[in-house]
Amino acid sequence: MSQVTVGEVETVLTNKLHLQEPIFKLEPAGSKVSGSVISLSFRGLTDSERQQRLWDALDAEYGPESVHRVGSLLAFTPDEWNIDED
Amino acid sequence: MADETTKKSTAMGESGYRAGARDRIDEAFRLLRAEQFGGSAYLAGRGAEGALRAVLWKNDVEIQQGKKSLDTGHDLRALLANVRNLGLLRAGGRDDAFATAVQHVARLWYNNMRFASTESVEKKWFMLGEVRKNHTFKQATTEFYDACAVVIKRCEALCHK
Repeated sequence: MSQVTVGEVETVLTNKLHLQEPIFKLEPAGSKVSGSVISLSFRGLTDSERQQRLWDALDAEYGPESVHRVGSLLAFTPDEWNIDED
Repeated sequence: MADETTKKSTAMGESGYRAGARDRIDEAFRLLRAEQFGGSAYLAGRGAEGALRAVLWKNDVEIQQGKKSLDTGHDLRALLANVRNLGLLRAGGRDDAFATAVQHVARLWYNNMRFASTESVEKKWFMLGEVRKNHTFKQATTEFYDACAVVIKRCEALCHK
């Protein structure tokens, strides 16, 4: 089983979800890629809905191997990520 | 018996609590998708607890120095109070959603959930009015997951400050 790179995961998520202005804070964690995804596209969605979309995209790309290639992903809107900046 | 060196090397710390919280909420979602609601609720709540602990560890020097214990039991409301007492939350009600999410989780989650059957969790939530006519255990667990995710994400943002 080949490992995926941070760049590959970013490309898959950006393209399959058509993410608006995405910012990725991903890093390798063991054999997986984990981290946070920030995009306006998550606005108005609950966290379970965001996770469903993320994993539908990853499952479509990697099939049953997705769970072995990608770890935890948190999905933020820009407002949620920058909440303490105002 | 663990010596001091072993204790220090196995101490959680901010990064340990954060990584654990992220893993637990990830696993909780996988179980939610598989309709394994008891396990999902337990792991999501544990993730919320870990995230609150990470914030306290990062921001309380006395905890880092071992002068004060992080051992608040598993009382999420007490953890929230400690976060608030450190002055980390925004004024003017701008962190009300976070506080409300912690209260939601604290009302439904209990440490001994780790021993409980899914049926007993559902019964307990029914007794609490969370599961009721036209509001299924699946819906309640999904909303519980969402509340835990709100807590964990706010704590992540606080740890990035």
